[in-house]
Amino acid sequence: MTLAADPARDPGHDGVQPSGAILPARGLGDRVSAVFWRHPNVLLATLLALPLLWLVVVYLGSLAALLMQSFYSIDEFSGQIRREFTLSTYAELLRPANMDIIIRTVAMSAAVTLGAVVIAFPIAYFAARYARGHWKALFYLGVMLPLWSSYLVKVYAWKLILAREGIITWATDGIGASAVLNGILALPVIGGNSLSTSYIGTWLVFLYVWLPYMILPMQAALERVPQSMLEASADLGASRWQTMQTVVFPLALPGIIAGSIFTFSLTMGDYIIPQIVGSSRRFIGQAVYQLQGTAGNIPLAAAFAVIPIVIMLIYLTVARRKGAFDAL
Amino acid sequence: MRSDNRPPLILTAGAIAGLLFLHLPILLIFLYAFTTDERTYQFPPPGLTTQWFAVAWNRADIWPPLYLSLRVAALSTVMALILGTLCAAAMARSRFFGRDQISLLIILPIALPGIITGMSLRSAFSIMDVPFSTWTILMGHATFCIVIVFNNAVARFRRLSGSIVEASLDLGANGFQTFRHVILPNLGSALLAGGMLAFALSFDEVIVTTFTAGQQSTLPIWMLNELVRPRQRPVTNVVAIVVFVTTFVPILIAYYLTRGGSETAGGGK
Amino acid sequence: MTTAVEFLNVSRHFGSIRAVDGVTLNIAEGTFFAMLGPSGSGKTTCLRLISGFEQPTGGQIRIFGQDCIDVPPNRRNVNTVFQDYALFPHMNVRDNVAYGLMVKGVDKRTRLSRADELLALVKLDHHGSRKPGELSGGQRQRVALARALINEPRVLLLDEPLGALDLKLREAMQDELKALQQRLGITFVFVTHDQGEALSMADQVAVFSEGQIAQIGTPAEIYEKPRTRFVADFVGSSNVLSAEMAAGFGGAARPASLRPEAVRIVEEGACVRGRVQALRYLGSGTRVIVAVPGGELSVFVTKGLPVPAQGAEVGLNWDAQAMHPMEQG
Repeated sequence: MTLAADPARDPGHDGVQPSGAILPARGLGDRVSAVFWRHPNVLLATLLALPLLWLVVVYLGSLAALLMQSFYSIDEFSGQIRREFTLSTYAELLRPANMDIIIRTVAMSAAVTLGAVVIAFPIAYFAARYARGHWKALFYLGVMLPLWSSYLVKVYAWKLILAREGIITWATDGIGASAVLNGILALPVIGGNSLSTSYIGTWLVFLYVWLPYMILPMQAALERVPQSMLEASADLGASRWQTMQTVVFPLALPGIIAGSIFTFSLTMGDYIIPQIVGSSRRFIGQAVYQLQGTAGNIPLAAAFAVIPIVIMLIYLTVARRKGAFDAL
Repeated sequence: MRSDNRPPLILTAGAIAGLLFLHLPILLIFLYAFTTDERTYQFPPPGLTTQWFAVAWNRADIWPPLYLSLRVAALSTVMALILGTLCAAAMARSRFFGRDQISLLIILPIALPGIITGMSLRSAFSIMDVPFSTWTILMGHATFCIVIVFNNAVARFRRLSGSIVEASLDLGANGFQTFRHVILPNLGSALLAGGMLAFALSFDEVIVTTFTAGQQSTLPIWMLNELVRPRQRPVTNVVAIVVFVTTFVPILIAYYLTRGGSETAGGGK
Repeated sequence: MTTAVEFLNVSRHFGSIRAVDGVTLNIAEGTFFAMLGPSGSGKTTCLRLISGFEQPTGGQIRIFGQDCIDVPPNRRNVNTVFQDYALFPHMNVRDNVAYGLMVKGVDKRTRLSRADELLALVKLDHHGSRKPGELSGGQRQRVALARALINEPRVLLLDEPLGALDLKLREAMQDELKALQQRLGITFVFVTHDQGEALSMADQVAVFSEGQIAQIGTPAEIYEKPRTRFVADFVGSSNVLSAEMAAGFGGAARPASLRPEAVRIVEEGACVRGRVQALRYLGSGTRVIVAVPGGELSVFVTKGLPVPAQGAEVGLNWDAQAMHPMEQG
């Protein structure tokens, strides 16, 4: 080794001994990293090979399989999957009963998204604009913990809350408001036997479970609104409400769109919440689950699963144009 | 003109009400684990008892799902750590053709509903006649956990001053030494946080799992069965507490590992 | 004299952007060499070509005569003091400084004692156990310097190392760097956009403009005999006379530079007369801006001499040889 640093050299001597300007390669590590240095694309390919192989083969491969299955059909007599290209499975989606499922699911997703925007906004705005120091951390944790804590536990908690003999009935009885509750449950379509078997109940649980997905991107977008911009607006004579409408809301919009991607897509694909809290009327997720399981009709299940993909792809394309991905 | 920085009352009230909405329901799970009423969800509970913890401990049908969930979560975390870190290292700095497509591919498993990932895998297993096993569960979990690790790692890569890598090379370290002595120590806490979150996500996952598990039950699947066909309701609550704590603790650790940085864990679920 | 760094028609193009475009230069061993230029002029890219973080798209680079195309940075016996210092945040100061020896497999005791020597050299003897985050900007700069010197490089590269420091500290560090370079005798290549820094510290200065070297020479040559208008403008607040003006004042019919200190305010025998536009007090004297036919001239009036009032009409005069003819452009 022609190393510059010779430990035996007199430490008090400041002058530097001339040595080779180019050092020899030491071992395999030097040689391999020299290849990477000369060809950065080789390094990139080496890093990406394994994860891309996984994502392409396992994930994209599966998506392709899903698409393939949706073009197969089921033999009505034998119950076997007929592996031939057909559009008949998609045609089945157009049956009134199946269209109902699709419309019901999309309507619920839209309602959940709207509700989430309304409830998320004060939290996101407060956290972005007013919370400082410990409060900021508290707000962040206050949103992040429900986001990450167990999905099933959260759903279960609502089964307890909405049960006929549960806390809401108890509370409305206690304050003498049971007439109000019964009135709400008597409403057509969204009402039902009890909260836990009505659309209102299903909507509440969806809202609860997906709310953090709306708050976080919204907060991220709002934090990028500079304080000075709000002051400029107030300075120019805008009232608080005008500032909100003309400055804050448009700037928060990318965050809202980003959040709505989650709330919309997650609601569309869920089959557990309507199964546990809701009426017997099915959503897309439940249809997929039952068709692939007990009914054994994988082609129709696959065709159903393609619907959320198509809707989300349209949604993502629109969102991308609006610049929503910067807020993710 | 408002020079004071006090929020309007209605905003404060809305924010606090929203946070309470997010947190109060969980408390009920704890309360109902102590109720003496095992047939309904009566509120307030007619009486309180701690017997359900002992009952749950002795129920033989709880342990195998718990072991399976732990095993799947641990293995998919390891896979996600490897694959997610590799992706992050490649994507953090370089610009290359197809980069946007790759980042879309990485987030797709969580951007699309879980049922699609689940149904896709189910379709593929059906076409290729793959029998269900722990491995089929693992394939689904690892796929959606990659992005969790990726998000944490890529944020840290970006925050790291690019020149410290150059400084290391400049001082004579080769790429591997630089990774070991400079990149890894600075990436460590972000990876740990990402791993914690991936573990929590996998441990709790039910939607994809129902499509890939076959006859096996993970703990969330066991819970789901209990929710649909309840037997001893308070025992379900006890298990729910276990699931809650098992996911809650890693999440909290992940938060403390990354707080203060712009990349605080969890924003990107 | 040995040549430390040699560029032969070196280019580095990024797509259509010519960051470095046909640069040829020689840096002699033991010199303090400054690369001066505005941002985007290619000086930093040149530095990175020496350290190996960029590879040339054309030309040859030799370090002490050895061709270093295809030699990765870790095998070049050249070290860098980075602009943002690039200290390893997870290591304490001693481990930072000892890093270069650690990756070469030098045992712990030896490398730490050597790190302590270098910390003493940069006057940071008692800061070894601190983390970089606990140090001031000036201290971090010294740590970066010590770290870059531990491998005893043949060439030390400094990328705007003083840019982040405040004025007072910067001046102190300029003196120290210069003293250190003379003591160690290592070739320093120093990148800066501050012409004062380049002129006061360097033995040789290369002025960069748009990826090319506009002029190369000693600080005095650069300052007094700028070859182009760009150099004259960038290196000092020199007056640039158009070809017609220069000819009118008795010089060659080429653009010429004229240093403000060479211009005298006179009653009689004026070359040109004009009105005082503005006065700027500089401490060591006053800069007087005078509007003259065809432009304006900057005049430096040394402390003690009478300063004309704003708006006054004055006569200006200078020696014909004070006008330095330049190339077109």
